[in-house]
Amino acid sequence: MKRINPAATYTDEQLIRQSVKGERVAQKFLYERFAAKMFGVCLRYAPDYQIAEDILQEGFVKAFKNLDRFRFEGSFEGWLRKIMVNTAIEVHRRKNLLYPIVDVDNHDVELFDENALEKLAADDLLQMIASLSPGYRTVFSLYAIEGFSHKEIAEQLNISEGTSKSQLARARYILIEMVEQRTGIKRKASGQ
Amino acid sequence: MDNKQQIDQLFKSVVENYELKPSADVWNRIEEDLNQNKTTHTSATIVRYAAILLVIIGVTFFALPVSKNTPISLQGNAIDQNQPISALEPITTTSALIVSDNNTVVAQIPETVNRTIVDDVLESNLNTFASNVIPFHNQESDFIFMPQETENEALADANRDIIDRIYNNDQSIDVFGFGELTSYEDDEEAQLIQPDKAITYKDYSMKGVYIGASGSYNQTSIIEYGNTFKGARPIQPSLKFGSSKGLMLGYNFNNKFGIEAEFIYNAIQGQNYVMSEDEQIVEKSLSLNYDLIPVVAKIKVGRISNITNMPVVLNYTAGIQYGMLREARLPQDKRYEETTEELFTDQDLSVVLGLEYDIFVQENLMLTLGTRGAISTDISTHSGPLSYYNKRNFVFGLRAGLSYAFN
Repeated sequence: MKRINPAATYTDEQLIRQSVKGERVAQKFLYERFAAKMFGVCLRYAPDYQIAEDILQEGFVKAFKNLDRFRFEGSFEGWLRKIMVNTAIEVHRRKNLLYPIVDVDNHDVELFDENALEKLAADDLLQMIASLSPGYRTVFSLYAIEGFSHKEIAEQLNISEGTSKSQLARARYILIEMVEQRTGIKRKASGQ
Repeated sequence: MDNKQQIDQLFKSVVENYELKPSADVWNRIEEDLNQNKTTHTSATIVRYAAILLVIIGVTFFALPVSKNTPISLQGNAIDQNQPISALEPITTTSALIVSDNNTVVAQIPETVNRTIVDDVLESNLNTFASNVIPFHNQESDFIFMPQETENEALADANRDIIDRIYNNDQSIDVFGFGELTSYEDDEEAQLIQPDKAITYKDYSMKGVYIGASGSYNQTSIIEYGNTFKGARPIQPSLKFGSSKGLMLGYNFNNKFGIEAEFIYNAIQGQNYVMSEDEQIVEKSLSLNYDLIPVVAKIKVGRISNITNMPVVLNYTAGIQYGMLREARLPQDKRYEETTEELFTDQDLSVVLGLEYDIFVQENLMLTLGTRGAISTDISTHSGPLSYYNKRNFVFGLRAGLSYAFN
């Protein structure tokens, strides 16, 4: 006899509509469907698993409370992801993790051999992002992965655009150094 | 693709779709939170709407204690206006007759007539009535006749005689009638005198120009569109209040419709917000000072107040407001530090809606009390760090004014 996972028999929309009504089982199915993806998002904004789980928890609670605002116009995953990112920013601000930001000189970043990064697993890269100081980590994740503009980042994090730009440059520089250390591969020399 | 983009892209491609199952405990914590927060609709919103409702109810109760059977207004030339009408109560349920001291019966409605009383009996009955019913009556003033039950035989006779004359349309007296006359003999004859002679809103003409001064006290805010969840932002809006004063010029086409323009000088608008800065929670204030010219149309519903015996007019107002930014005071905030550009537009338009009472305190003097709200077009110039989203002024508050009507 074939075993059927009951959660898998519902579409996103069915689960969402039931969840809006407060159906706890539907909410749980919905959570289980997206938890791993969203945890991946949260990890990019947290120094460790513990804080990433806090963000995940708060984000899902917020999503369930505002679920009636979801109009089925865009993808639910995108909507949920936006909430997770906003929650991460909020948690970040609340914990005063945004260190006083000092502008740094822009570092010109030179290209790696692409093979270098192929040797790194996602775990390693996430570990590198997590080890950045909170300000660098947040600016880098918002810009490089979420695709925010400096203008948006400045507004969200209550910093100037110039600061956002210099933070990003500094974050890139540090990440590259970490990649070098991990892989033992040096950057290509400039001008090549 | 330049080098920087390539680095970002490489990180993005590896990390973006990374998935990891969180610990099983997370769902339990979410469930706990959801159970706790079942009824937390933002209390601030509820308080705000309750306050608005209270203001509207309060204004309504203050302005509309109007009785259906309004007592007659003693204006005109027949009656000494200094005579306290309240001393003549009860006055509301019977017909009345106004008699002047020189034995002349005076009627005011439908028209003022003077007739000499040739009838000795009437004269003596009136005197009886006067001396018994109206203690302060003297030969210098007028009085109002009210038939009423009494043990005094002479007074009862006088009542009977006068009412007979009223019923029989005796030409020697005229009736200043209102309300319903209840006959002491036969109720069926009570309709002889037409009721509803009380002054109504229609008896006044609102047509004409008025000028006045106004002041308002508002809760002001800047509404931002496009942000997914305000609550998720590091900045929390807080209440800001601002006042304004202005001069108004209005014209009423008739009792039901009017138009009004106003010049409001240096109205304070903007937004307060709370944020954390250098590990402190601080409140900041963004002030926008405007000169405003609202032009509103008014639909008027009027009644006569039994407190003032004057019209009270409920105005439903709607219109357009032109705003000119005088000054923008930016708070000390990192986001503004590099800003040299103008963040807010010099001019905007708003839609204005309001509910206001015009209360006449004297024949030509009008007190205005009410509420008004306005929401503007986008005021962001879309340059500078705060400009990503559309922004609109939203102002709601109490408004009061005093006007003189030329009519």
